[in-house]
Amino acid sequence: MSQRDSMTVAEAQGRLATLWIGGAAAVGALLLAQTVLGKYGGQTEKAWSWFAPTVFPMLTIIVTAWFGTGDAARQQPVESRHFHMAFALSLVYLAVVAGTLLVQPFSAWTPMELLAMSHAWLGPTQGLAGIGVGRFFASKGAT
Amino acid sequence: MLALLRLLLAGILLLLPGNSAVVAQPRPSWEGIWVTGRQTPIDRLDIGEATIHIGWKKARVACTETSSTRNLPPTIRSATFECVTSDGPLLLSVTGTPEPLLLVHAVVPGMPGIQTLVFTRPTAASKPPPKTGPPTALPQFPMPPPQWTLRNVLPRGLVVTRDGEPLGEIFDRLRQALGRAQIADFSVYGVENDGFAVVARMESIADDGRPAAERWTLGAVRPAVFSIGDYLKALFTARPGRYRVIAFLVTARTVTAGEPADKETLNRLWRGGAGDLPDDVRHVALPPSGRCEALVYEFFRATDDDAPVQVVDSRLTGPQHLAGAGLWPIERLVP
Repeated sequence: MSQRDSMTVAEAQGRLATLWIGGAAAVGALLLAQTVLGKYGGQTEKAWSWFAPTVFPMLTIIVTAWFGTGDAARQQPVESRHFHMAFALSLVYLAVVAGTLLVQPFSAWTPMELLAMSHAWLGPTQGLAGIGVGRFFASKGAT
Repeated sequence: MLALLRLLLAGILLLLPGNSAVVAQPRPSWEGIWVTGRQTPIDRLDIGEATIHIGWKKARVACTETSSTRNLPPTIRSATFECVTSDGPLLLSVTGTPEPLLLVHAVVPGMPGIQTLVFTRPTAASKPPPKTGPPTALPQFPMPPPQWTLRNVLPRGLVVTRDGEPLGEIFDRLRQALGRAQIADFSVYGVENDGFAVVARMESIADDGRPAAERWTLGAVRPAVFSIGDYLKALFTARPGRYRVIAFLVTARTVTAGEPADKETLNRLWRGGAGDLPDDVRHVALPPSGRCEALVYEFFRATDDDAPVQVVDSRLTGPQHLAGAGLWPIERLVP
């Protein structure tokens, strides 16, 4: 069943971009506050080195597509299931990124140990989010 | 000359009063080991049923009887012997008495005149003096010791009470203090051949020098009580760590600092020593001017992920550290 609702490409891209910009900003703000308050001591650079590749690749793609889509294409309707899947997987991924930082106080591992270990669960989750976002952009009318 | 000395020895025997038989062979009551406390080349007699050996400069030398029986009182027996040592013949006149001792007159090669020696049964009191070399069973504390954060020479009476005190008594006093501080893990080292060192286990401490809640945990510790306030604090701020190792040196030697200390070196030290002071070291007397020095090694790490570095200028004093550990009350440490 191919369903199209009233959401246009521009709206869908806008929601996705908002999610990613908002999520990245929230995680970045948390990291910034931790840095300012001395959470990472002499390991601050390593903490930011963890953050950049975690968020920016996908964020860059989404924002670039949002601004790069032509006016005609932006008014096309989108398949809602593709958008919803991309949105849900992105939301899960950003929640996992933020959760990695937020659960650290409960952990017996040091902050750096936890960040290094987080690639084990962030990698697959990021892959799923990438598939969802890619499927959305590949669907007819999204780009 | 030798004949003359023999005659002299025979004369000594003749001068001894008495009228009973004298042994031709060493009698059973003489059998066994005899030692003398004097510094002499003859350090022992090993008398068998029909043989006699002497300890001569750490060698065992057999002797042959040369005397004939004499008329002596029943409680006194005597015999003379000749022993061929590496330095020449040695003449020996052995006289037993009612007391458990042997009176020995000896013409010793290389020594003028007649040497008079008293031999007794070996007992605890007549044990040879302690070895002059370092005790082999006890690992040696590195001298100079790693550079400390603070040093405190403990007041007289706290651990060391007097000159010449056996190291065992000092060690027991120190162990009592460690027990009071609930420090059960420590290592014992020798300091040359007349002192010792005790290195306590590395402990986690609070800023005031008292043990931290998780005293023996050196890594990241999850707070036991976890309120919202605790969580926010743990989320945004680092959990610094402060650590301490206390080493006690009981010695009369001058103690100077060596290389800067690191956590691994001190962890090796508290694990690498003996668990107790061996008996041979316990009986060694502390030389004059002997004292107990407490060396405090303090480490600090800013975050869970930083390596602990040695504190050069501690905010606390040596007595504050020792009192904080629970070893002694502060008023006893600051006279």
